[in-house]
Amino acid sequence: MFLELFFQYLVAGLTYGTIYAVVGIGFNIIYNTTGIINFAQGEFVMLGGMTAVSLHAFLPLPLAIAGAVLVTMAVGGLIEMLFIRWLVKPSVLRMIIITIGVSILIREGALHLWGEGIRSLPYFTGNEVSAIEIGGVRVSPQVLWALGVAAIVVLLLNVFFHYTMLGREMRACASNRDAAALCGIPTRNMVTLSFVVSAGIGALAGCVVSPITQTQYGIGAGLAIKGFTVAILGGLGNSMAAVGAGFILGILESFSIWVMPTAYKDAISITILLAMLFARPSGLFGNSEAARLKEF
Amino acid sequence: MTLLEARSISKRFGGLQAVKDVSFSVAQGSIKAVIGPNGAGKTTLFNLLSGFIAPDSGEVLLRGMPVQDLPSHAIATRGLSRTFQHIRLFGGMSALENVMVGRHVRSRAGFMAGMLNLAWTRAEERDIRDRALDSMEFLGIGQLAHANASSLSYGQQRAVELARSLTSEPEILLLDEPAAGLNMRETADLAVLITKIRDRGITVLIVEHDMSLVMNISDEVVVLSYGEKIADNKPLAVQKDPQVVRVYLGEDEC
Amino acid sequence: MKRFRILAAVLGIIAVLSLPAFAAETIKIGAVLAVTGPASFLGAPEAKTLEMLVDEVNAKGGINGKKVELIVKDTQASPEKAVSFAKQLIDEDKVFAIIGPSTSGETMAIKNIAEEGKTILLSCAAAEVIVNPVAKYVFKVAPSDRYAVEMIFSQMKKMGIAKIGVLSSNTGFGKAGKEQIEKLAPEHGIRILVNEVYDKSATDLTAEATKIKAANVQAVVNWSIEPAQSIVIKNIRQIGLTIPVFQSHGFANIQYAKAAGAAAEGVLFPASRLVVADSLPAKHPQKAAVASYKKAYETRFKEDVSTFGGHAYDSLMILAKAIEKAGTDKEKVREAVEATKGLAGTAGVFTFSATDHNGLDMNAFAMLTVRNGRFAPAEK
Repeated sequence: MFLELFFQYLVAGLTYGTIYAVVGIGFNIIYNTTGIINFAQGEFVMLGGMTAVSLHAFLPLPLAIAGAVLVTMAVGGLIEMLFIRWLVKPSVLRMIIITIGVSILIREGALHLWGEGIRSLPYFTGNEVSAIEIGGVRVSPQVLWALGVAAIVVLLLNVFFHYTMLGREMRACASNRDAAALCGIPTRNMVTLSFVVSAGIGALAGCVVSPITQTQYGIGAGLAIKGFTVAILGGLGNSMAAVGAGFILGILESFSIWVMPTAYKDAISITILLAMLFARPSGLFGNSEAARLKEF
Repeated sequence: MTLLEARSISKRFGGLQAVKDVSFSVAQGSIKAVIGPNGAGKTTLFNLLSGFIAPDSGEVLLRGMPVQDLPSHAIATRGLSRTFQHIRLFGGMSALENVMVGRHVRSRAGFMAGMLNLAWTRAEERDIRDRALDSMEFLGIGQLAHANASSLSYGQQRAVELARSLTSEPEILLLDEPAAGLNMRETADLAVLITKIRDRGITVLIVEHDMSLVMNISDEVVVLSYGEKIADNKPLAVQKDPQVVRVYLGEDEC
Repeated sequence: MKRFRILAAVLGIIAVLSLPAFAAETIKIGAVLAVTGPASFLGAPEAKTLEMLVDEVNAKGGINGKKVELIVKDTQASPEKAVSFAKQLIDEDKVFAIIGPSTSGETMAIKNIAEEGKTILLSCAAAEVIVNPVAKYVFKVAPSDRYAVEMIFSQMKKMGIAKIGVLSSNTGFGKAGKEQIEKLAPEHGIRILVNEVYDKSATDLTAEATKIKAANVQAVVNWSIEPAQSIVIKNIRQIGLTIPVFQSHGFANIQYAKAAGAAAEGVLFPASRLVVADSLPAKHPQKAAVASYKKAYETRFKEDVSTFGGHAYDSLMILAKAIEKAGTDKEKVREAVEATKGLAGTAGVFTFSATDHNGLDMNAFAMLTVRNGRFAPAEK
């Protein structure tokens, strides 16, 4: 019984961790090219989920998700072009304030468009009560879907950033914009692209967690807080690290619920994580070399 | 044939006339140097030529085309590459990756193609890698390919930056004080290297303090003083120019 | 030029003179509701209902020939905003009465403001503390949590359940429900083995469900009004727990059952009869009120009625009846509200008194369940 419970809490932790991780990854892309935290990332997650639910009314699920990702990507690119591109030399603080403004704008827009009702995509496999059982431990298949999507996204991003010209150029932009420009890289386009990619990843996350967390116009902020936390904890800019930090945070939370009242969950997990950060200020998986170069 | 030409370019920063009505041209296949005492406007001139800042007036012509209003990445695409006085590498990336980014102006694979990893993009990726390694070998830093750029020594970082420029196969290469911080032997090696770069068919424009380096390798020398051009001639002629001796060499003797 | 000035002055005087005359013809009613924000599922239908009813009343010539003017303030569920809007409505707009707020926390924040401003407050929130102790001007139309808890416990007795797990969210609603459960459980011979409070924005509750599973209880009660109440039943079923799940009356909005899909089947919860209006027998005292409100709302807004909108309906009906009886003297109307007897509304049959400003009892609730994705009466 003890062992079974242990694994059940572990699965719960993995579920939390997967949600945090898949949302957290999105923060890294824009950070990687611009050095800023996009506070509208949670809204991309929400937009993805909401759009997919709407499209699913007349499209099969995979097409609805693909459509939602494309729509959100377009929104992401548009936001960059409307609010950020025209800034001559935007300071980090100014960009952050703009992204906060944009997040409010998207949220209000979604409220007007979709109303305040809660929706969700159907479970990709099975339904609300189905679970895969291994030795008495049960896990919803949707958690595995989310895990799989997180893994594929991390893999693709790693390939993209390290083994394609465009990915390297985006990293070059993040590292030194002036030098990148003089290598012939259109840095503004790279920033637009980073918003497009981030929005797409956020939307995909929104779709894959929608059956678990459900979707509502205001859900973005709540998801973004945890996603942001794990992105920072992992060491900003590193998607794999965000996933790792997501799992650590999720599992800490789950096990704290085992031994303590739920109300203390956040206090316990954040305290432990802060302690870890004192020991490794550049993030749990970040390297201190890179951390020194960061503006934020 | 003239490759790069400045026509009466001027730039003012507040009360300071950094560059005033400067005109000169760089012939294809030559090595031309810009010298002058500190604060003469050499770096500003470089920033104007590379599109880093726009001139208040005047024109910059690259192969006869005006480029002064283009952003720097567009000028780079037209075949002008530069290095910096203060090295600007991409930290957090390996030396090889830094050099590969330099190839951007000649690559064409987009995002979707990159993600789909089509056969030709893989071939292109391999081609870029090979060329980047060639440049590094040429500069004698092939063994540093996989080192993190920010962990290299000063001289090595300078070489990586140069390799990054070479990999773009520029028509013209602007070098901003490449000998800064090098000892005499390293400077002598650099002189050989710059000549070799020229022999590859790349025109070189160099800003330098080290007179021996400049006088040895340059075909022509432009002298700036307080933002104005005071001489533009062969090295030997410049050395004998009384005005140059007064404002530049004379100052050194003081 | 001079003529214009004279003309303007004359027009100005006419405007000024006609204003108070026009104002005297209307009855200003303020509404402090969480129209948007986290409790928008309460405030939005409440605001829509009031808008609809006021249009209806005015189309029939108003109350005693006086038109009703409705001023809706959106608090976004923030008690701070509720306070400033309540002050504004009382001091500046000089409203006759205030309907709302939507949540208990907001209501408690403005209870004293209404009392000091001698303005009738008809709260749409449920917490017992709103009317206990009784404040002269403060009423509430939503049945107390206590009645809901009593309903659940009496159902548990029938099912032979004595050991339960309790989950609640960290909101005013969750906290009030949890307190009532803790207080009433010993009286009903029920032991609480697990008692967990989760965050209102929780996105997954598998660990809490696991804790319930480990405790070997016979049933779970969840008390929240957030999307979490759908999530929690999914998680409970996913980890293989098959024990009965009870929810609060906050579950009585079909969108939560829809969001939980297959997991919602069999969930038991107390709810207003409004939710099962169609299956209510014709002779039931609430049938008329419930059926007419449901039809009017669903025709106009093309969405299902919720009990929360019903609270706004009841508030305005109680107020309108009192004004019809007592005229437009605030004090007399307050007395008339307090003297309301046997008024059938959507939430139940209201009988107020000087000591009871809620006017309902356990019978305000019916025990419901979810069957084939729809609300249905639970089997006794």
